[in-house]
Amino acid sequence: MRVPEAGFPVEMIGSVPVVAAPEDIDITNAVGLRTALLQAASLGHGTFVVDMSRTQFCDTAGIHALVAAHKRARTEGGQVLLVIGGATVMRILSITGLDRVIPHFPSLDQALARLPAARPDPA
Amino acid sequence: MSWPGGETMAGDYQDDGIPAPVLELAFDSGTLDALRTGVRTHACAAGLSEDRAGDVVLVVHELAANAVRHGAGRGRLRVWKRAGALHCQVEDGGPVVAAAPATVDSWPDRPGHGLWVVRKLADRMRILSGVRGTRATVAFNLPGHPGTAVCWLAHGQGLLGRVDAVVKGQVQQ
Repeated sequence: MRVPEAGFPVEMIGSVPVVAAPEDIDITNAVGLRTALLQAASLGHGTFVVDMSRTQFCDTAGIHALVAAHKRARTEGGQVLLVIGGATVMRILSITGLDRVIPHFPSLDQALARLPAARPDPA
Repeated sequence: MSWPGGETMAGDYQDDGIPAPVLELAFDSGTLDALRTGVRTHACAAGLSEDRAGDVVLVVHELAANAVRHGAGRGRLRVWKRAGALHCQVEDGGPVVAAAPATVDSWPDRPGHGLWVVRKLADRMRILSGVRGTRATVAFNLPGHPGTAVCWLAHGQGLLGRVDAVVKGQVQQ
């Protein structure tokens, strides 16, 4: 299943929503990110992955959206997992201290391995 | 100096004896990506490492984003390589947005967080604001010039108004 969402497509892997973030996240598209995160939270009952492996730049507006999603997920008993590919995105996570708050992984496979719901049902 | 929309900003750099910047461009919400590309190119050309150039890009972007979001909706960036440092100046026609206190070590998850990041990463930061707008200047030490970044731009140019913040950021060793 693939739900198009203004630059932030949400794909279901097993029963885990995965938000595919674009190359650049800034004030011009952070609202789209926020909308996609809300949609993913709804589809995944609070737990989902944000795949930022393609993302080369993320400003504080994007970080703000991720923090809001993380807080919301914790309230709902779920969790947000990040996939971080580039050093630049890792840098802003580190500066803001978010790297110690939100679980993050170098690949989508490693993130999904933490979520039993992502595994296909045994045939 | 003409300004997008026909306004005139205080501070004519030629009259004040300040050399021409290596990069000067107007920006708005539609050209922030071009601004980031230009800043990265000049930061690398000035001798900064790729990682440090990434910091410069983030800092200048956050200042420009503040201008777009909380100021006039547009602004102008100038970059100089001077006195052992890379100086980046962002001007807009709006009021300054209050930053979190300098003593706050953790990132404040609220409006003003962009300026917190700016202060955290820049070696020097100065914000001037007045009735005509806001002028933020940041400086980054170049390799071989540790701790020498000074806001020389604060002198010799038409000031917009009172000094709101002069903050010394971390010094790269």
